[in-house]
Amino acid sequence: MPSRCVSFKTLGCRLNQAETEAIAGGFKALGWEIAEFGRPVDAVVVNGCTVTNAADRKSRSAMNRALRITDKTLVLITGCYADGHRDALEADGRTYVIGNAHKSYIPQLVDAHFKGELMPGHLEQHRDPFGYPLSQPVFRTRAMVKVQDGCNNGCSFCIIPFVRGRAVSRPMADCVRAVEDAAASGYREIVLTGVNMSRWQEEGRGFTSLLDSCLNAEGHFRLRLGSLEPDRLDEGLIDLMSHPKMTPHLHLCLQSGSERILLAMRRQYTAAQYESCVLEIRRRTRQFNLTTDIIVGFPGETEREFSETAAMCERLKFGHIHTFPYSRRSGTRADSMDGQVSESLKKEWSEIIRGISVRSRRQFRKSLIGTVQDVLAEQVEGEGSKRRARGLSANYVPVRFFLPNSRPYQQVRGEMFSVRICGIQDEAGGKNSELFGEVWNHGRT
Amino acid sequence: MVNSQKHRVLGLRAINSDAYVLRFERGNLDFEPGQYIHIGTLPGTEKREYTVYSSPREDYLEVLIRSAPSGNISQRLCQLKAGEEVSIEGPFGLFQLDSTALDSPLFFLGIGTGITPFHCFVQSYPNLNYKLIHGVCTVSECYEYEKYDKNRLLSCISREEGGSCHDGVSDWLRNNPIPHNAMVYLCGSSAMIYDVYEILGEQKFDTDRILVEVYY
Repeated sequence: MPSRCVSFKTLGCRLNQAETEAIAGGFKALGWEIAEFGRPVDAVVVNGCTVTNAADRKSRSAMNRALRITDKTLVLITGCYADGHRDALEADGRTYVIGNAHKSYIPQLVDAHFKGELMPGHLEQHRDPFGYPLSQPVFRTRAMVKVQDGCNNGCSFCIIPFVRGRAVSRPMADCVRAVEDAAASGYREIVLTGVNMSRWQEEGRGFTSLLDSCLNAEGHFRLRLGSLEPDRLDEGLIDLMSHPKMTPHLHLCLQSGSERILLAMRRQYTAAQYESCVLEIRRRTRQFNLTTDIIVGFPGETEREFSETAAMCERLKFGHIHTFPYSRRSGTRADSMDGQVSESLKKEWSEIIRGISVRSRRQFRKSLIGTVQDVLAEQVEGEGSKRRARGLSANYVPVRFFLPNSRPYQQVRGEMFSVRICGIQDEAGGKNSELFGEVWNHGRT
Repeated sequence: MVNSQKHRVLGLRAINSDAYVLRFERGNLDFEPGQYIHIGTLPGTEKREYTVYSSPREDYLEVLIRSAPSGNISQRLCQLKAGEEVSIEGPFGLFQLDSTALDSPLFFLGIGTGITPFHCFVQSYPNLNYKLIHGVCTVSECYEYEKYDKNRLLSCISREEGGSCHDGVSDWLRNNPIPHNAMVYLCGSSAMIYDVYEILGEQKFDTDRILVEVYY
């Protein structure tokens, strides 16, 4: 009997991407094939996002596209979009709606459906935000370990606490076991993920304790953190940034460099605290790559506040800035604020921040020329002597390098290579700059 | 999806023509003084954040509501009657007294309904060494002042006669620097908090000793 086939469409945050990866791994373990989204398949999983009105539109569009694939395709909607629009989706009736709390059981639910079986017990018994099996390398070469879900912060622009729910922490012992299992399965890089990881807590212990335990878990791996909120960066956490297993990279969400706008956003830190923390991390760890998110055009933002943000971005020389023009989201405080900024001004400001990002990214990458980096190979392209690999360094910089013919690398993807960085290549008119290098000492690390 | 609980309304106490204290059953909701909850009327899913006004020592919950002309939720909450139900999620928030600094002098600065968390603090910890500076426009916004030690309460009423001073909270602060061993708690609009932050910065006050809760 031929295998059943499933495809995925993922929108939104890295956590959603990590969860899709884990769900795909679950399907593979049940004998399913994974296909590209849009092809005729038995089932499609749309892992949607509702963070902005635009994200709603994209999720709805992906769902409609999935519904057009074939009449027999089973379409499942999950993620924050499913939680935020459950009533309307269920009334519509054309899709199966699975909320975040039950997302990890999608492979079993779908497989049981096609076998004409019923899942044992009521769906509510399978409510577990951390119930994902160890991810198999379907789309990625890194293992994702989800340690936290939900958020209690209540930022004025964000709908996520209303759909992802209250902050919940995965028990520390489970997290450490998942890290050790991933390392034992051969993953060389493990990423801790969550909606707001810095709020992880268990019996009086905070995220610093969790990170310390994960870094000291058994196995040969390097550890990366997913996106982090800057409101709980204590001295201990800054110390751990220089741990030998820790990758020298943080995606630390700034959102604005203006104290006035940070307050209006109801963020839990000041720009001054953020800057001081960044300077301290950089003082202790060389070649530390700091990336961030910036929202431009928040309600009430004027040229003055925007200039403060731009100046801070120039000063801190981020390795990359994800720039988001503020997008209204119904149901949030910011949506009803006075002083909404015009789309044209948001676009103009976005371009300025993107320009700063391009320059500082190139500067950071250029500073790595001549160094040797441990690169996790993610893609292989070309043939014979022109065979090249592309991967990410520990500080999260993409690097291309030729693969020597002398070494018959059967499994290049997911392997770690020691690469000497030789130069930088500008693409897209200088908007993107990529490092290239050569395998150093012909060795895998 | 966040789980909501239904709580039965016990009563509504008018403080002035547009401010009310809504009391409802506590159920099994456990919270720390200073935390907030999401409240919505039924039927419906829309909710708004309200800091708990009453102490956790009481067997009911209270919130202080100002009925805003453009506030759908606040207007509906102010029309509730005993026996009706509200939908509640929470508690949330980190605007709480630092238990290691309870011996320090505490300065509570709030404007309008931003007095709410301080009411909860004062009702929850009877022996606090606090000073409450409350900024309002009119005398009618002096919400239930009888519940505070009058020697610890200072009202800044900007648009009417009365109160302890006629300036805003920021102006009072400029003329009355806060001792550097104090803890400062700010609750109100982001503009007020920003101004106070700047003034405290000019006074070389350690910003790690400031906690803020932004109200909209």
